Amino acid sequence: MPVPSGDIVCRFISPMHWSARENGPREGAFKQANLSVWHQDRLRRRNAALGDLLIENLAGYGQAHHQAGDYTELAREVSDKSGVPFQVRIEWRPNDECVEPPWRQWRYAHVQVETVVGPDQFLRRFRKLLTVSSRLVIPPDLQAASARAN
Amino acid sequence: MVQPTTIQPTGKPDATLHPAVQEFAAGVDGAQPGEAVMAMAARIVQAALERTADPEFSVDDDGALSIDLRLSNGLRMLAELPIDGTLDVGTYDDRNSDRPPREVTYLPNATAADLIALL
Repeated sequence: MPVPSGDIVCRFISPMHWSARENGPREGAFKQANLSVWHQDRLRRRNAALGDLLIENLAGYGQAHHQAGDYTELAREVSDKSGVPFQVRIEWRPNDECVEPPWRQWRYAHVQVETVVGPDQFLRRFRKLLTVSSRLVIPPDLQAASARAN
Repeated sequence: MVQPTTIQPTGKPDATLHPAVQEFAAGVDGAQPGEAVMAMAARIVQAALERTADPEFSVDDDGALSIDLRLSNGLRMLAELPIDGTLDVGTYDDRNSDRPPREVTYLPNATAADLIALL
């Protein structure tokens, strides 16, 4: 089932994919075939927060927020401008195979962005537009990331 | 972020010694960029270091060299040079917070000269 286009979703961004100069994500943060993002309001409605999920491998990660509709709109823009058929969908994916055990308690808020038409990997032009179009960003916590690494 | 470190006696940075270029040269999973692609990488990094302030270079898990910098006219440039040498370059206007960022230029099959001309 698609996520309503006005809803806010968050992509967690590793410190290595964070631009200190721009205070935002780098393109590498969106270099995926299936992009996991999390639905902010679904977490809130169950008295959880995005920050609760920053455990294990995600400790210290930053956040880049988009409206769900940004993904489909930007894909359409890329397809229109380049002439390359490209379409993505953004859907709920609370399945076990999509959500690893440390985060399964929040699976109700898990969303996946994936290509419907076009190459498996996101087009590079699309990744670049996603990179510059975050609506809200929260920088990584480098101390937390470092503590996890040690 | 990989910072430029090496300054030659001429005062110009030597991009071939830049950590990101060296990491890019090492390749990934046994695949390495060829000489022509390495020359592209060094040329791009050299020009970015000389012409822009605080450019960021990184090497992704797939071995591609990513370039992220701010042009003197305020536009943001994002470029990616994979091991196979297929460079793409985009410039974006994100200076007005009242409207969404806008793609100004996108070159899907760019050369090093194309990128450098935008700097």
